[in-house]
Amino acid sequence: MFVLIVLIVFIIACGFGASLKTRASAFIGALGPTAALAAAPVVYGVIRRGETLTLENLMPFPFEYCRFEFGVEDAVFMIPLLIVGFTVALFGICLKKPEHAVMQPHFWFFLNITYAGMMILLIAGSVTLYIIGWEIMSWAGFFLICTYYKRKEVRDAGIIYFVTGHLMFLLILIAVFMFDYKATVYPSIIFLAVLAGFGSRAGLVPFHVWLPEAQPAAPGHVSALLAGVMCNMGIYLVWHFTGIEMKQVGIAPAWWGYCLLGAGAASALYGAIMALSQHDLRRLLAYSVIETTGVIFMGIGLGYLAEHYGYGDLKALLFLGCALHIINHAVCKSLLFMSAGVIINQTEVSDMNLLGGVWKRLPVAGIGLVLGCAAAAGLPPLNGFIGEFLLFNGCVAGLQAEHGGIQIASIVMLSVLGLSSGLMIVCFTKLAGMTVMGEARCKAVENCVQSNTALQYPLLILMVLSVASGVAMPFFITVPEALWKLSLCMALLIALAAGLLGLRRLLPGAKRDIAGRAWEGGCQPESGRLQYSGSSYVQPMTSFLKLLLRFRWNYRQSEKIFPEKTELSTGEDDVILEYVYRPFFRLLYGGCMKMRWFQGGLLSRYILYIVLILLFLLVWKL
Amino acid sequence: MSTGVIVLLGNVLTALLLAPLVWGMGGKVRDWFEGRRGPRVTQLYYDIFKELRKSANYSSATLVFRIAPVMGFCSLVLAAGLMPAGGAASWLGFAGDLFLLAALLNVGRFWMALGALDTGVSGNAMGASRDVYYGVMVTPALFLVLAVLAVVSGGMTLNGMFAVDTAYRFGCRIMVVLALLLIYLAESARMPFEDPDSRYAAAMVKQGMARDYSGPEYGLVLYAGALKSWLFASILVLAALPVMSALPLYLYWPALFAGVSLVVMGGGVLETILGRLPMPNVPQYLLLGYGSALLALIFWLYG
Repeated sequence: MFVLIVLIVFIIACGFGASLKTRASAFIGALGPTAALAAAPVVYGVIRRGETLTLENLMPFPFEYCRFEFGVEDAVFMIPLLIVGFTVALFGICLKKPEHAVMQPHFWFFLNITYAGMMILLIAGSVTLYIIGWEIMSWAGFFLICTYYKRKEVRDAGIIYFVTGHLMFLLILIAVFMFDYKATVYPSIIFLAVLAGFGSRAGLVPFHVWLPEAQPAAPGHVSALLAGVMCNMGIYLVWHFTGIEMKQVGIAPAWWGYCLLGAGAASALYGAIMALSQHDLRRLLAYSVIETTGVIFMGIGLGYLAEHYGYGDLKALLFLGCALHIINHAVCKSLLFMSAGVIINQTEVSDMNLLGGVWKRLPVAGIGLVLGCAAAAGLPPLNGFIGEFLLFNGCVAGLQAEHGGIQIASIVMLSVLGLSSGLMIVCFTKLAGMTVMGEARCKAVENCVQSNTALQYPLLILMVLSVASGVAMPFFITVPEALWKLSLCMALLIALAAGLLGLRRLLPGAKRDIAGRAWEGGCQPESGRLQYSGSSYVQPMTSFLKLLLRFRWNYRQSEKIFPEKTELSTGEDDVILEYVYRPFFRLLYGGCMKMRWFQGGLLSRYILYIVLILLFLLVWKL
Repeated sequence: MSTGVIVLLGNVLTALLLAPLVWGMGGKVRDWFEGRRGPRVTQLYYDIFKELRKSANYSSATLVFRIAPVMGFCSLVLAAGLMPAGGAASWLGFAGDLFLLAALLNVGRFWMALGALDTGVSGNAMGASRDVYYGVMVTPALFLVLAVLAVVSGGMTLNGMFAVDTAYRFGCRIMVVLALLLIYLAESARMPFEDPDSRYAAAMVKQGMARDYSGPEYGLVLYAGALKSWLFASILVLAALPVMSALPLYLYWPALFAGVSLVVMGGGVLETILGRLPMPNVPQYLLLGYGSALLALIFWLYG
C-alpha cells in the first residue's frame, strides 16, 4: 500500500517537475507513468492472492478519516492504467511535432496529474477521496483534451466535455453525500445518480455526448488514455458504488440489474450503429468505445440479477468476463487510437473518405490499425474475443437458469451481443479497409512519408500485448479450464496460418509471383477517388437503418442552364446531442439571460439582497 | 490414440477431402435440373490443384491481401476440428466451444473483406460491403441458434448440443432447422442470396470479394468456400438428426457425408426453383432466420 501512495506522490512530483520549462521536462514527465510500472508486482500479488490492502487513520479528513483500500477489483482496473499509461508516456516522448512542442511542459504536467488522479481513485477507500480523485482526473483531463487549444473545434469539444462533466458531477455530489449521510435512506436515488454521473464518463447512452466530441479533438495518445483508462474509471466507479450500495441495502431490488442491462444494451446498439456511419477516424473509434462500455454494463447488470436471484456461479462467470473484456479492450482500443494518432499526425487527414493506402506509407501504424481492428471486432485469435466469449457463455448459463427474469435478460443480452458483434465487423472492416488498404484518396496522403520512426515503439508494445494476452493468458492468471483450451485453439490458429503462409513459398509458382495491375473489372481507375468510399461501403446498412439515424444529405444543385460546380456532402448527427442536449442548453441559456437583470453590478443592490434574505429568515423563524 | 484425437483428425480430414466433392454434387444437381451437362462432379479438385500450381498477381495490394485467404481457410479448418463426431467430443472441445465455432466462422468474413478492399477496386469493395451486411443479419441468428441448441441440451459443449438424448419439442426443432437452413444458404453463397454462376459483377457478393485473387490464393478462396458450405451443412444435419451422434465412428463419417450431400443437393434443387432476391429484400429473409431462432427458444422455454 505504501508503495502505491509513494508512487502517487512521485507522479505528482514528476508533473510539477515537468511543468518547469526545462529541456528535460518531457523526460521528467514521462518518468511518472513509467515509474508507476513498479506497482505491477503489487497488483499481481493482490490478484493472485485475492487479498485487500488497507491503510486507515493516516490523517483526519472532512466527514471521516482518510482510508485507503486496494482490492482485487481495484487491481483489475489498475492493469489497463499501467499498460496504457506507460505507452501513452512513451508515445508522448516520441512525438516531434513543433506544434506539440509548444505545449510540452503543460502537457506533461496535466498528463501526470490525470494519472495521479486515476491512481487515487483506485486506492481510495473513503468517499471524500473518491471525490478528490475524480475531480483531479476530470479537470486535468480537460486540459489534456484541449492540448491543441488554438483550434476552435478543440475548444468547443473541451467545453462540451467540461459542461457535461460538471452537470454529471452535480449528480455525483448528490449521490456521494447521500451515501455518506446514510446509504440506506434513498438507495434507488443514489443508484440512479451513480449510474448517470459516473456512467457519463464511461460513455453510457444518453450521457455519452462528450466522448465523440472530445476524442477527435485530443491528440492521439490522449484519446488512447481517454478510451483505455478514463472510460474504464467510469465503469469502475459505477461497479464499485453499486456494489457497496447493494451490500448496505442487503438485498438490492431486481430492477437495478434490469436498469444496468437496459442501459448497457442501449449503449451497445447505439454505439455500434452510430459508429457505422462516421467519417472521422477517431469519432468512429469513440462510438465503438461506447459500444464496448455497453457490453460491459450488460454483463454487470446480468451479474447483479444473477446475484439477486441466487446464482453465484453465473455472477462469477459474468464478472470475470467483464474484467477480461475491460483489460483486453483497453489494450486494443488504445492501440487503435494510437495508430490513428500516428496516421493523423503524419498525414494531417482524419477523414476516412480521404485516407487510404496508409499501409504502404506508414507500415507499422497500418499493421497496428489492422491488428487492433481484428482484436476490437472480437475475432479469434486476438485478445478482444476472450471477454466476449465469457459473456456469451454467461448468456447461455443465464438461459439455463430456472428463472424467467434472468432468461429474458439473457435473451436480450445474447441478441444485442450477436448484433453488435456483426456490426463491429462492419465498422472495423470499414475503418481498417478505408484507412489502411487500397490507394490514397487525396494528395496529402499520397505524398506522406514516415518522418518519425520512433512512434512505432509504443504501437509495437501494444500489438505484442494484443496477440500475447489472447494466447498466453492462462500463464498469468488462474483461469477455468475452458479458457485454457480457448487459448490453445487461438495459438493453434496462429500456428496454422503461419505454417500455411510458410508452405505457400514452397509452391512451384511462388517464384513467378508478380505485382502487376489488378484486373479491376476491365476499367482502369485513374485516381484513388474512384475507389469505394467509407460512406458507400456502409450504404446498404445506413439505408436499412434510416429510421434510427438522422442522415444529413446536403446537395447543392446548380440552378443555371449550364452545369457548374455542385457539391454533395453527407453526414451523421448524434441524435441525442442534436435533439436533446442542444435544445436543453438553448433553453437554459435563454432562461439564464432573462435572469441577467438580477445581477446588476451595484454593491448597494447586493447589500439589499442580503438584507432582504435576512429579513425573510427572521420572518420565517417567527 | 484417444477418441478425441481420432475425432479431431477424422473431422478435419473428411472436411478437407470431401468438401469439394459435395460442392460439385450441388452444382451437378442444378445442371441436371437445368438440362445441361456442366462440369464434372470433381471439377473443384482440378480447379484447386490448377490454381495451386499457378503464380499469383498481387497487384498493388499489401500483405493483408495474402493473409486474408489463409486466415479464412485456417479458421474453417480449426472450426472443423472443433466439431464432435458420433457422440464423442473433439480433443479441442471445451465448455463453451460453440461460441468459438461461431466466432471462427466469422473470422473469414473480416479478413476477406479487408483483402477485397486492399486492391482498391470498386467491384471488390461492393462485394465486401454486401457480405458484411449479410453478416450483420446472420451473426445474431447464428449465435442465437447455437445458444438454443446448448440450452436445450442443458450443457455448453458442441458435443452435448448434438447428443441423441436431447429430446426437444417438435416445433422447436423445426424452427432451429429453418434458421440453420437460412444461415447455410446465405453463408455458402447459395441462390436466394447469391447466384454462384453469375458473371455479372454487380450481382456478386462472395465472388465479388474474390475477383482479384489469382493463383494459390484463389485456390484457397475456392477451397474455403466449399469448406464453409460443408461446415454449415453438417451443423444443419447434426441439429436435425440427433441420431447421428449415436452412430459408431466408422459409420458416422459416411452418414455425415450422405447427410451433407443431401443438404447441398437440396440446395441445388432450391437454386433452380428460386431466383436471386433483390438486395433490399435480403435483410427480411435473413431476419427470418433470427426470428425462427428466437421462436425456437420461446417454444423451448415456454412451449
